[in-house]
Amino acid sequence: MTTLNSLPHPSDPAEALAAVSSLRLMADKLERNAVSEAVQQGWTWAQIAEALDITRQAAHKRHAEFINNKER
Amino acid sequence: MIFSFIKSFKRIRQDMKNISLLCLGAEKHAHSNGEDKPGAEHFLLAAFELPDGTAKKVFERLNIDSTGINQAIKNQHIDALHNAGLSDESIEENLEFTEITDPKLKLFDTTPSGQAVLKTLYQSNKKRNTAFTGAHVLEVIASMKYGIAARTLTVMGIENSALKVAIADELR
Repeated sequence: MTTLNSLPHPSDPAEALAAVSSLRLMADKLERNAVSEAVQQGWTWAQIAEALDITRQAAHKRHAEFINNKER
Repeated sequence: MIFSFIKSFKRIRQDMKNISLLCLGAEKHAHSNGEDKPGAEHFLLAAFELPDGTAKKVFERLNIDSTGINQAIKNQHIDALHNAGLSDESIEENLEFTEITDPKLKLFDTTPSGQAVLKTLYQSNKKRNTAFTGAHVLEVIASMKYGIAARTLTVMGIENSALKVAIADELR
């Protein structure tokens, strides 16, 4: 588990927003890799959606293309 | 009159070809980094692949190796994530991506920073009567103060004022 020891202070918006942008990219990649792993482990789209707190349709729309791509 | 029309038509045709190459190149770079939409940083990479070679010449004027851009994009993410308190190990592990090798056919789309690049290019293209080149893409990106592309140039040690001078010299 990663511990966030420090975060840029909002009083330095350039650094803080750059961190937000990179954290978002990292979160997207982590989500994509985790969903891919979940599918390989036999999770259903309903279970993935529940874990991400989004609808099944949203989970499928966001990730199915990538999963199919990876399986080819 | 007729010669001027033919010249203008040829320029528009060439511009359309180059913009198409730029968009396809940016999309290819986004996909190879595991991202589905290109941002300004991917247009920066694609500018160096345009056949006019002016983007490369701008960097040569600054003694900067343009082959280091991809690594610089990664490095600016690493810097930002260090600032957020993440360790090297965790950054390396979580920035891993799978290349999108066979994307679903859909309409060309970009991130907001990619849209800003295309919009500004379109506006400057309308005012200009010379052909569109990679240096014009750099000109647009050099006008961006924040975001991944701007931070990438900073990570490469490029001073914004020096870049603008080099672009102006190349376009002269």
